[in-house]
Amino acid sequence: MKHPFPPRAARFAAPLLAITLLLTAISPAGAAERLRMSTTTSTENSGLLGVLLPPFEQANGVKVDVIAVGTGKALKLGENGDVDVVFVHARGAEEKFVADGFGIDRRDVMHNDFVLVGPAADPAGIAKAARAVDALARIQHAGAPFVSRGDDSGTHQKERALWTTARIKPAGQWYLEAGQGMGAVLTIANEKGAYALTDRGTFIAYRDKVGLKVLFAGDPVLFNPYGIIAVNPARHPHVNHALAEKLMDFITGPEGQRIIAGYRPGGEALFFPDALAPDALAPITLVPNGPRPAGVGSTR
Amino acid sequence: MGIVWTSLWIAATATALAALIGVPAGVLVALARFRGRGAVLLGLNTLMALPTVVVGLFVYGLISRQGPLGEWGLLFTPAGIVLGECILALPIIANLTVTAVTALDPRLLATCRTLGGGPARVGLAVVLEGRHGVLAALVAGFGRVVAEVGVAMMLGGNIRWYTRTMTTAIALETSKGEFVLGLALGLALLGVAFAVNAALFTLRGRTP
Amino acid sequence: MNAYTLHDIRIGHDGRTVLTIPELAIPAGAVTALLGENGAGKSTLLHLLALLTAPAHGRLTLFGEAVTARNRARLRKGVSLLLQTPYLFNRSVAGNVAWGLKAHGMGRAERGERVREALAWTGLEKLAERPAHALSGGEAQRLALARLLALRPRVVLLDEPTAHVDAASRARIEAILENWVREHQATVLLATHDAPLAERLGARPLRVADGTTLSGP
Repeated sequence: MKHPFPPRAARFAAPLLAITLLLTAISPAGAAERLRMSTTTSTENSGLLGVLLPPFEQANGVKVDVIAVGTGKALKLGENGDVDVVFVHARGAEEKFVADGFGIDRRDVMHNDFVLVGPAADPAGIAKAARAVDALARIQHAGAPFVSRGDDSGTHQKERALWTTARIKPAGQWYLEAGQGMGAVLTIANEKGAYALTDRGTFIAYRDKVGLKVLFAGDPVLFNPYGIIAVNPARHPHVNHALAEKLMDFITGPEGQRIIAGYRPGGEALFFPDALAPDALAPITLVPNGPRPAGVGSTR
Repeated sequence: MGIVWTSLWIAATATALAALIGVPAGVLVALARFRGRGAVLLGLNTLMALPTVVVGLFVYGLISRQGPLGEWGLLFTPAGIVLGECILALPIIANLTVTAVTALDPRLLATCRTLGGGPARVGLAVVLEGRHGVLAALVAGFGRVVAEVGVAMMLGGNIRWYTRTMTTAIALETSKGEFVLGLALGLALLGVAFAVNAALFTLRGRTP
Repeated sequence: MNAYTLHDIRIGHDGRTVLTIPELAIPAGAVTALLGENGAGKSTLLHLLALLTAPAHGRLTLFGEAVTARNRARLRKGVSLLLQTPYLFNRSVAGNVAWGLKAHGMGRAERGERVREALAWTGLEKLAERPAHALSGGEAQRLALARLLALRPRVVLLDEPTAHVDAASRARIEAILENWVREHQATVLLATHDAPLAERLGARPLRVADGTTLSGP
C-alpha cells in the first residue's frame, strides 16, 4: 500500500491526538517541586492549612499537595510511601507508625479538643456528667441515638478508646455507624436528634447549619493533639525528606505556631499551638478574644 | 474556574486515550468472527457497570509506591486520574462502538471488500460511516468520566489547584456542610456538560 | 482459458446447504449470464465468486489459482461485485469512486484521472462533487458501476444491475455495460432474470434453479 496512513484517517485521528497533546501540555504538572502531605479531613476542612501553607510555599518556591482523608488512610498512605509527610491527630496510631519504622521525627504541633454534641433537649442528660466516660454511659443507659464516624478516623479512634474506658461495648439500635466524614456525621446526628463526638473545629464550622449544641466538654481526656511525622526515607528512599523536614521546622517553628494561634475564623480560636514554650507566642495566645474551649484554654 | 478547567482537560484526555484504544477494539470485536467473541462481548457489557471506586482501588494498587508501577509516581497526580478514568471509559466506548458498527448497513462490508479494501481500510471506513454512533460513544464516555468522583478522589487525592475536580470539590463542600456551594458546583458541571454536548451536536449537524 | 473452475462446491448458511455445484467452469474474456428465479441462489453464487464468502466444501480456482483463506484477500483485488442495491459511502460522488482506487494503492494523480474517466463512462461528470446520498436510485446504481469499473477488474460480477431502477435508468445502465463489454476483454458474470439484456450483451446463459447450477443453454 502506498499510503499506509491515508489522509482521511489523518483528518479523523488528528483532532484526537491534537487534543491529547494540547491538554497534556497545558496541564499544570511538573512546574514546582511538590511535597505531599496526607492529613485528616477535619484539618483540611477547618481552613487552617489555607493560611498555614502559603507562606511556606512562597518562601521555598514549592507546592504542598494536601491529601485530606481519614486518619487511618492518611497513615496508610505514609506506610506505602505515597506521601512525604503525615499530619494527623491520633497519638496512639502515630506512635505505632513511628515504632513500626514507617515514620521518623514525630513532633507535636497543636491541639484542639473533642466535644460531645447532641440535641438541645439533652435526653440522656450528659450535660450533668462529671467525666466524658460518664456522659457516654448516660447515653447508652438512656438508649439515646449516637452517631459514630465508624471510619477508623482519629475521631473514631478517640471515641472507641472512650467506650473502652467506660467498659461499654457500643452496640444496638441506638448506635449508628456512619462510615463517613465529620461533617456528614454531624448532619446525620442533626437529622436523627442524636449525640456525636466531634472535634470542636468542625463543629464550629457546622454550628450554624445544625441545631446541635455542645453538651459536654472540658474533660482532659478529650484533649486532641496533632502531630506531624516525616515518612521514613530509609524505608521509602524516593520521599522528599529534606523538604518534609523543612515543612516540619516551619510548622513547629515560631512563624507556623504564630499562624496557628492567630487563626480565628469567626473570632474563635480553633487550635492551640504546642510546639514552643507558651511565652514564645505570648502576644497572641494570652489575649483571646473569643470563647475558649473549656478545660483547654485554661491550661495555657 | 481552575477546577472546571482541571475537570475538563482530565476528562477529555482520558476520553481521547480511551477512544484511541476503545474505538479500534470495538470495530475489531464487531467485525471479526473468532472463538470467544460472545464472552468478550459479555465481558465488555459487564465492565460497563464497573463501579468507579473499584477502578480507583485497582489503579491505586497499581500506581501506589508499593505497586508495580509505583516508580512512575503517578498517584495523586492528574495523570493518575487520567489513567483511572481511561479504564472507566474504555468499556463504554468499546461497547457503544460495537453497537454502532453492528447497526451499520451489512452491505457496507461487502462493498468495502469487493472494492479491494484491506482490514485496516475497512475498519476506518466503518468508523467514518458510523461516525455518529462513534461520536455518541465518545460523548457517553466523556459524560461518565467527567461526572464520576470515585476515581478522581482516590487517585487524585482532591489536591487543591492540582487534582481537585468539580466532582471532588462537590464531595468536599458536601462534607463541609456547604450544600449550597456543592449544588452550585453541580450546576456548573451540568453547564460544562451542556457546552461540550452542544459543541458536538453542532459539529454533528455540520457533517452529513 | 477459464476464469473460474468450481468442483464439488457446497455453500452453507446457518448449517444448511443453500447451493450445490458439482462441476462448473466459467470462461475468461466472455459474458456469462446467470439466469433463474429470485431465491434460486444467484446472489449466493456471486458472493462466492467475488470471494466474499468461503464455500463449506469444495474447490474453487480463479485463473488457475486455487482460492484459499490465505490468498483470498489478494485475489479479491482482481474481482469486483456490483450489489443489487448499492451501498454508497457517505462522501462525494468522486470520493466514492476514489475509495476503491485508494484501496488498490493508487497515487493521487493517477487516481484523479481514473475518477474522471469512470464518471465520464457513466455520465456522472457533472455530479462529481455532489454528496452521494443526494443521488436518485438510478444515479446511485450508475455511481456504483463507475466505482467498480474504475478499478478495471479482470472479473466483473453484476447482481441484477437493473432490477431496482426505472426504465430510463435501465436503458442508460445497459448502454454503459454494452460499451464497456465491447471495449474491454473482461470476464463478466451477470445475474439477471432479464433474458433480453443477457442477449444484448452476447452472454452465454447458465441456469440456476433450486440451489444447483444447470449448465448450458
